Amino acid sequence: MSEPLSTMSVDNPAAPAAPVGPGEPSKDQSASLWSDARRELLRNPIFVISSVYILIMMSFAFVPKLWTRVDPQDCQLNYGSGEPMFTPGHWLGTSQRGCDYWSHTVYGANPSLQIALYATVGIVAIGLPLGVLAGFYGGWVDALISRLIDIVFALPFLLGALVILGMLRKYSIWTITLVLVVLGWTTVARIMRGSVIAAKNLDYVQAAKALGAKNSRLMFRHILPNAIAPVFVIATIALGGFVAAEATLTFLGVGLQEPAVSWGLMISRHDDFIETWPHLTLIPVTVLVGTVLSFILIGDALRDALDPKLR
Amino acid sequence: MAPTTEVQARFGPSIPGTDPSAPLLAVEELRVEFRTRAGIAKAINGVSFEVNSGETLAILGESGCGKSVTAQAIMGILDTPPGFITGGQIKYRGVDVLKRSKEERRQIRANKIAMVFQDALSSLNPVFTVGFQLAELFRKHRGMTRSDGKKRAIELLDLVNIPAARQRVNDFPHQFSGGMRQRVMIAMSLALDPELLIADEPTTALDVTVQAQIMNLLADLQRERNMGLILITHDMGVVADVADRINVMYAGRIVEKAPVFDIYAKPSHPYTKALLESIPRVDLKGQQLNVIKGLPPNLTQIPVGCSFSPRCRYAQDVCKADPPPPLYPVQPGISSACHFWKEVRGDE
Amino acid sequence: MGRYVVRRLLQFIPTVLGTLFLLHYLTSMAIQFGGNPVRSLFGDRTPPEEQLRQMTEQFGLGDPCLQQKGNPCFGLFWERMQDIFLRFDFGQSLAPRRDVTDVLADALPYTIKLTIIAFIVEAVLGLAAGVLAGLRNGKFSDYVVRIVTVLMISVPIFVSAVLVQKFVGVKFGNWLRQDLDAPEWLGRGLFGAAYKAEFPWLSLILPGIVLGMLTLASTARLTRGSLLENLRADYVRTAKAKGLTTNRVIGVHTLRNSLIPVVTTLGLSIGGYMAGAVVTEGVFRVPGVGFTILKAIATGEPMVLIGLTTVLVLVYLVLNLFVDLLYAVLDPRIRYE
Repeated sequence: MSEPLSTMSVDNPAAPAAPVGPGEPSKDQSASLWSDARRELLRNPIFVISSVYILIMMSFAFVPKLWTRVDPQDCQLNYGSGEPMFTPGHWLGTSQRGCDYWSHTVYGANPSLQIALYATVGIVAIGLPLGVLAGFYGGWVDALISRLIDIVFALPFLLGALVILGMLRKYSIWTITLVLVVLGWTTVARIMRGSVIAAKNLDYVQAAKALGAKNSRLMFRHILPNAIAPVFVIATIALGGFVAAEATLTFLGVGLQEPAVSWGLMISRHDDFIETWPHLTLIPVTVLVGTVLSFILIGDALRDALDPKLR
Repeated sequence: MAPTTEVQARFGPSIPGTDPSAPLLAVEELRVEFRTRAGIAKAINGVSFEVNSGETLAILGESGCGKSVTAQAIMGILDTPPGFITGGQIKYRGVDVLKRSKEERRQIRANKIAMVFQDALSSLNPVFTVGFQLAELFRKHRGMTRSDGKKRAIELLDLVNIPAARQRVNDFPHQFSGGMRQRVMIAMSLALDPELLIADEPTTALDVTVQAQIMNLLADLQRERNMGLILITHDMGVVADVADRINVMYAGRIVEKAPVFDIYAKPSHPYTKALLESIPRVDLKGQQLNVIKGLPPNLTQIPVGCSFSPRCRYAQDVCKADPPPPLYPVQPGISSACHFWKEVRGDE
Repeated sequence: MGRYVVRRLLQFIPTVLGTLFLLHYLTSMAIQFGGNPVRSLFGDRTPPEEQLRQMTEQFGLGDPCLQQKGNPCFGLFWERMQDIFLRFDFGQSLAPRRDVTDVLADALPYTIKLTIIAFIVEAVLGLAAGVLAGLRNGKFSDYVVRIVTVLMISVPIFVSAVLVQKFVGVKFGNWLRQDLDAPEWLGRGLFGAAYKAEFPWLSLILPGIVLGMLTLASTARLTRGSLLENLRADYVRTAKAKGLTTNRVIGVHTLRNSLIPVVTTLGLSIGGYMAGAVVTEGVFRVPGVGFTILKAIATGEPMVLIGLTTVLVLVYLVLNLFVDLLYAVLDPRIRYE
């Protein structure tokens, strides 16, 4: 997962089906694009199943009490010498340290999804305006921002995160998020720059410009509504990428540390016992992969729905 | 396949079963539909026509009327799916090519019928030099070596009046101007001396001044080689000087057939008439231009009757109720698919 | 072509300096905010001031700017650039005391071997799967490829590494070794759970496949998409109209164009392997660059960490440049603009 954001090619779904007249802002048209997309999505079983799965994982992360009453830190070491116990009240048994495994699975969603959400908000907050500026103004603004994008992009994502966190030696949700954002925003900026340039050259935007529309109006009424669709796609896929990245960093020892509860830690703690107690590894692996997969599938469905050319 | 005779060396293998006295190309009751998610679009609904050697037939119509689909069906390059030929015959020298094997159809494409496409920039492969793309034909169909193929490529570029052909043969398509690119496209279509050339909107993407040059080039080459030429266009101005006969298409049907002079002098179908009236004319400066109101029908839901009736000023109830009108013979050589062709012509 | 190469080379220099500066700035900030990394070498003990100062100096971390939060440390950067490009000096490791370049020279061959295996796996399987799916669009094999690739993309590399190691290397390997009495090269080499010096290539195949899987799926998907797009292109229709055989229409006219973007990702995926190698080498205990980086993090060897990363970033940048030039070779529209 070195470049979790670029593992998939994102076509540019920005081009609208048909240009509208200059007097007619693009609002109606993009509104219909979105409502068409919604109808298309709700009819797509893959999208619906993935979304339900993500909603469940979100509830794991943010309202864990809905799913379990056991505190994951409430472990009973006297349960045994490193052997998972199946006693009443622990339907998935306990971890090696006598902690309830179901409660770990539920609470373990929290750091992954928190980091993924914050990091995604972060990369959009940085990448979107920079991409818009570069695409809209062109010239030296574009040259400067593009160069910056090239430079950051040249730091391999996971390797960069590994080194910075390894030097920093402060592993919290916030430091991990920060590092992921600093290294990850370029994808959004690139996509946004490209789709703004594409939208800028559409006939009706040129026409609105010729009629003397102000820059701000051009940007917010004409360009942005048409150019933003691919960002939704890339952000959804990025959510999955960050969940994977967090788990990977944790596994490598530069992410969350015990006693935190996270899927990555659950895997790295138990992978050596996979022969004797495979469920201890396979349970966190399943929920983790399911989450990444769901985000990617939602992103794919979004792209198909938002690309009028495919319809 | 090694060429065995002199004729084969130049024209490629002959197609078994062909009759030299039969018309060069005869399309009979051709039907094509596109099966898409949105429904079945009936793109061609029983089209028939003939072309002979040395003759130019223009197929005229708005975009989406089925002109290009007809051409692709004849060539056998229709994308299947979604396009399917559901009926009719396409006869080359009396042989129904639709009944022949894929391999034979490929031989016909290679040697007998060639095509010039509308947009030469996208129709030429961007990553190969024009020399490669021309020489490829000689290498693959005539068994020539690379260097002989290249020599022939240069000759072809000379033939279509591309200056400095010897140097330009190594250029890539994007290095040519629009007009020069279309000349390359024409050179490619003529490489293997086809008997029939189909030109699909060959000048639409070009500047007006270049359009005339390309049309003249096509006309000259056709005359010299006594080829049959099918000229597909939406532009009535383009065909006037070049075509012998015109077939006007609307919504997948031919609505009028006539020699070129008669069409301009006295159209027999309301659609043709409306097309002629919508050409801007210098002598009528200051007047409102006549446009054809409305849009062509959605091909997934073609109305029962005459498909032009919703836009037709001559339309009466019978046009909407009865099945589409057949081609009524108007005069020898002229036919019209309109119940009221007499009124349209202003006869009587 | 010449002008394109010159322009690209001129762009390359500021990008290299910019990226190295960014790496320098981020690691300096990490030190400024995280505290002197040398201290952590002592674990819980508090080192004597004098010894700490000396060691910090030896690591090249004595510059006072590293104690001022947010200071970009331009002076230190300048010194390091001179060290790297003029003296080929990437700093020293402390325990044992060695030049980072020597550490690198020891580790690099393993990583290169691993990368070669991964690249072959990715290129061969990825291209084959992508072409198969593209040509059979909408058919059974297309669905299989699409489902398998999306699953592969969703599995983080550490998960696939762990699962492959435990289930193939340990479980399947044990069965081969104990129950079947398989030959050494098969049981301990090819299907071993970790790198073994006696089987310098064989025992790298399993980790290499895991590493290649990282990008195999995206290569297959890109190939499929690119092929589908090009199959619809006008010039493919022209090639058909020329009466060329289907093999030539697809094999020459379509593939030649479809592979242009694929070659780019293939090139860039080698960069991706460098990060992936940290995981695979860690799991399979391959003593390559990635494993050394992990060890440096665990033992707190800041210069090894920075030095090796700098080298990997430089390799990545050169690869990027190479891919860009290759792109121009493959696509004449870029070559002559």
